[in-house]
Amino acid sequence: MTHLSIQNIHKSFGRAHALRGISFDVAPGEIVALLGPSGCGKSTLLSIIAGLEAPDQGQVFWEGASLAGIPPHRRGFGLMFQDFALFPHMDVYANVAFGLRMARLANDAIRPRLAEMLDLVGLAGFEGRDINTLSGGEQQRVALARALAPQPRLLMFDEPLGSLDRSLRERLIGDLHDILRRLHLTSIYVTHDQQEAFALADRVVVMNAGQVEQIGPPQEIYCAPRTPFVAQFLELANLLPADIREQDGGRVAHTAIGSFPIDAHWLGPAQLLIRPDAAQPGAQGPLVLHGTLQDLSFRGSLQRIWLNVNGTALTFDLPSTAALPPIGQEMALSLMPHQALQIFQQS
Amino acid sequence: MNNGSKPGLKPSSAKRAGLVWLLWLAPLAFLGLFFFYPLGSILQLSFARDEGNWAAAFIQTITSPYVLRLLGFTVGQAALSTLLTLAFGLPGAYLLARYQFRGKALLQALSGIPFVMPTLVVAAAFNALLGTNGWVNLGLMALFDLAQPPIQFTNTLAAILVAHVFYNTSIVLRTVGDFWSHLDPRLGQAAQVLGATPWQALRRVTLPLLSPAIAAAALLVFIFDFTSFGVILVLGGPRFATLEVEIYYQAINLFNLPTAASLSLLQLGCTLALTIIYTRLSGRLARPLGLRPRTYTQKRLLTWRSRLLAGVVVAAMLGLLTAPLGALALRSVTRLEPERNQQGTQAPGLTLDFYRQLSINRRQSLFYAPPATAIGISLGYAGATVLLALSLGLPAAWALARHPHLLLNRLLDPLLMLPLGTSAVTLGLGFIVALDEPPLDLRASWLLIPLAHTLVAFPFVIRSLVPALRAIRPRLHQAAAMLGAPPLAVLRYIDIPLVGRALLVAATYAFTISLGEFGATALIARPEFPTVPVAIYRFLGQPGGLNYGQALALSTILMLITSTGILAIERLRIADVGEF
Amino acid sequence: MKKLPLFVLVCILLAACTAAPTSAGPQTLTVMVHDSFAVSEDVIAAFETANNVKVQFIASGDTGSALNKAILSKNNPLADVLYGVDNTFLSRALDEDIFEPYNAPALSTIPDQFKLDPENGALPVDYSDVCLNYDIAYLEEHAIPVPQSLEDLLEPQYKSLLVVENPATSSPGLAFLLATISRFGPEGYLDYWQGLVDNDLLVVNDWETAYNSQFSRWGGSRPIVLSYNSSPPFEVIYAEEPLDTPPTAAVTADDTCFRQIEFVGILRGTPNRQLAEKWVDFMLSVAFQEDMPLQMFVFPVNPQAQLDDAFTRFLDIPARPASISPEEIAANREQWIQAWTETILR
Repeated sequence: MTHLSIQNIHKSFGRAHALRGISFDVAPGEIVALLGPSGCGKSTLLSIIAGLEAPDQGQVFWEGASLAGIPPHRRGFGLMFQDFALFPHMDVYANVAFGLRMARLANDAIRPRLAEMLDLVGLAGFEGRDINTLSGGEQQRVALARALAPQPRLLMFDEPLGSLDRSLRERLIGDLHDILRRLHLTSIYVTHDQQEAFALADRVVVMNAGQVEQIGPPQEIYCAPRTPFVAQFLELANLLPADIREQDGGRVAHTAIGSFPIDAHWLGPAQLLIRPDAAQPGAQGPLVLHGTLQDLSFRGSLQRIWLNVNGTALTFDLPSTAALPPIGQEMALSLMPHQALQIFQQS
Repeated sequence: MNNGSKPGLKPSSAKRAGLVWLLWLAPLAFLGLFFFYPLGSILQLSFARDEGNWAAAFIQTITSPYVLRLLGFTVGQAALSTLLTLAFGLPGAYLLARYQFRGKALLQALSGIPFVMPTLVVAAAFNALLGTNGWVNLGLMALFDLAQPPIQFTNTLAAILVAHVFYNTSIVLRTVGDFWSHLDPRLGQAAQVLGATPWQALRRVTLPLLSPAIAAAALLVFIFDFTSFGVILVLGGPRFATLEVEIYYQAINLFNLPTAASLSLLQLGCTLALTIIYTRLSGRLARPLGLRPRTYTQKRLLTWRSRLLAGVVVAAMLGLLTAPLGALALRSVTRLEPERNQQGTQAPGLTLDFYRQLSINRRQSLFYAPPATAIGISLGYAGATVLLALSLGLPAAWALARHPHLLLNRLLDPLLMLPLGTSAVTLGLGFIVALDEPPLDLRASWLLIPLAHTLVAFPFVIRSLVPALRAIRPRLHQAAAMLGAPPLAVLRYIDIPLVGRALLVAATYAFTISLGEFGATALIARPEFPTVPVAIYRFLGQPGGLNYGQALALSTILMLITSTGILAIERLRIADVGEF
Repeated sequence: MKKLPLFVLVCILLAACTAAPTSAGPQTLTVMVHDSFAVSEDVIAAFETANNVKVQFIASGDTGSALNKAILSKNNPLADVLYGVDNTFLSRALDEDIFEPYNAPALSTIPDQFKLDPENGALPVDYSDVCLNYDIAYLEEHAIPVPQSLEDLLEPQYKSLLVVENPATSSPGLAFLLATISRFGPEGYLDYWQGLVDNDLLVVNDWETAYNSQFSRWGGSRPIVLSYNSSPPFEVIYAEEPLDTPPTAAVTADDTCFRQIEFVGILRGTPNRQLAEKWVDFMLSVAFQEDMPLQMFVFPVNPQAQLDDAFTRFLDIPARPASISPEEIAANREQWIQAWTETILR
């Protein structure tokens, strides 16, 4: 069964094509993340689902029924905005209660629901606070409580953590994850941050230039990016132009830094991905790269190195514990052949 | 499924236009019935009186050297007056917008009084201050031992300019001051952190952000000065004439309707051109701002610099705006010196005689109205005007602000200002010609008065509300819609509270415009039901110290009602309006 | 909120339908007047009782405005009767043919000098004389004699003493211009005015400014002001403190004043001709004629009407006021004023 079904959505603003044939489904209770760089159309798609914009072509269905022509306030969806869009003339209570008021709930019914919501987001006791005096994190929680309070059929988030600092973001991702699971809410989460998408979503829709690049569970997206764009967006940065040829009964990708045996069912120009996370120092194993250690940046749980192989700089993430030569020295890296290499046909 | 991909044929946009039409229904019906129809009728009738080619006659009239000179003076004095009014009003607007201090509400209420004062009363006040025998001249003559009064005020351009500043400063204070008070002061501070001097921050950040409100105020002030009538006649004297004065002379004294109609059209055309420039400009200037409640934008006068500034601005405002009024009020409770060569029975001193006399119908006149009755009538008309102007102006302003790029709105926006730029006498005659059949035979009805007042107040309501509505971030509307609020609820719970201040400003405009309006009222009022200004003019039009004293007493009462009314409107709190 | 404006509009239209007078029911007489019109309550009450009628007054601005309103509504008259057209506007009213002739019985008692419409469409009601007024105390204090003619005002001793109203904007201003034209002729009046200008004449646009602001009696600097011969008695009647004699006086020497005569007429097409005739009779009756002076500062054309004591004591009526026929005024008004404007103001 599907809750939400997006079918062949097109939208353009003047000459700019914001969306070009987007389709996917969302199951009940599922959290779907729309991941992509800014300008990829993900926020436009959100607006179309919300009913704030109308598609030029294509339709949005809820439980099989078209939503065309149904205004946002009758869709029963919730949307949490990037800048929260809290009502500046209302206190915390009035902001959170707004949706309930619109649903014509009596004050007696609103009060307990409100307390519950504020409790849920950790803002118990904040009812009377002026929203202009709240910190960013507190405002974010008010916005979440406000979006949750009317019990929307579908809850949408438009980069809700974008403006917050890192540690707060980490904590809120965790909180959000717990809350969404607990409420079993069908949700769509728009972000440009893969960490957020992977941490929260059951499935991720990667978008680029108004089109869907790949749909799948986070692990699948990360481990098997389907296009060079997805790979690049996931910071799997080592993409090399390659030429695939027959050699010794197998197929080999010839690149500027050497030839690599690969599985491919086609010949000709291609792009070869060397995953940064599938290498370890040392010269053992079937696939070994030799190069000069160009630079290194320590990232806590791992260290990122730039290795110059025949004039091409490649990035690799190595364990923090790995011993490295001084910068400027030669070193060798061994690649895990089945994980490290991925080939994309040149489009 | 294909919903049609041609731009402009999208269902959402068609539906939006439908909603906008709905919003326009009442305002357009009102304007059509009580403005465009009468105006069109009188213009048509006027040109028809002139056999021959009216277009040629029109061109000939408006290109005659006399009319060009007239137009030049009209535009020139209006531009000069507007600049002076802005220069005088903006520091005051800054003070009222950015600082909290004791007596501020009173200062605001006082600064609103000039707007309603009858021209003749204001002229008398300025003459008492600056005339040949005025206090200033007498003082200077005594001080410097001069034989001749040093200040020539009577019948000068300076008198016109001073009076225009006196009348219209409150427009700048209200329209700009209100907007400014919600502008986030951190924007200016950010500029200063980036190395701008306070002056640069003001010029490069604050003023550009304020520009929609300044443009709106300047437009209103300019059109008021452009169509100035009483001030030109009474203070400027016979040497000066605006288009409006000439229209009156041609239409009433000479009954030369074709010429009057040509001049009216010229005046309308200028207003329209100006308004089109303004709407173009304001569309570009206006941007959504995160408006802040006043508690975050206003501070106390703590530094000596701010105190000095406040002192200078308040002194200037009191000097120009309230000194003449104060002099009138004082005069209304002062016994004049006993007549020379006559046996005066009482010595000079304070008296309430003029006020007491107001309640006595000395001549048993049928048209006598005790002050309480005149006040009641004035307040009744003012209340009706507020109600009518707001309920017509709000939907129109909403439509304009929410869909600024809709063709319908772009066409209608400039038209809304036309009532302000229309010659009162032309429109007045238009009413006679057009509204002569039941059910609209309103020619002798009291209803014409609030309707006429609403026509004048309507542009003010629009210009007060539109910048405020445009400053609301569209996100908030979307947020409300996502929480289940239908469009009307968005208006009720988001827009109205957020523009609450602007609504009060609009209400104050409507209230004061109605309270002070004389021209249309005199032309239409039933003599048994005089408004306060009409009653004042009756006293002024008769010789005798008692009549003059009573006129001043009634003027003082008008000042009291006005300031009380403004204070009361300030105190009004629309439901859910907190600090906004 | 959105329903409100519609609701208000509907209410207003409904109210309009009920409030708007159906142009005159059988028992309502509508009288259009200028804004200086006033009358005593009991006098009107007597008329209403005697004729079983309710009189409704419509104020219509100044004389010119009222007349123009009447002309513009002549196809669908606003009122049954128009009062207030004066001799400077009379020709326009007669040219536009807005009045129905009525040979009122009272006309026989009214002196011929007031009857300017041979058809009797416009019937004279009252007159008043526009005359120069002076501040008695000021002239005495400065030992300046009272001017006895228009020419006197050109003397150096009257330099900077005179304030008059603009004929283009003010009814007494026009009257005084006509007086000078009557005295010096259309060829000579501009020279006379040039002389006044050389003697530092002050021109203002309206009577209120001239009298209340510029006249030395009320704080101004000019002791001679253009006003009415009725002004001195009013200074006594409406004095702040009781006075024995007026502080001002009018110059009523021959040819220095201009007589304004006001007329009433039955508007063409009235459905209430009978009542309208009654009203005209009433305005010419002694009761109304005696009420007028104190209400409107104008004087009865009906010689049977008696003047109030204050008037008989302090009123000077010029024996030979200047006069110009309404036709001549209508024919030359614009040109005379324009020539005057160009000479005096430029």
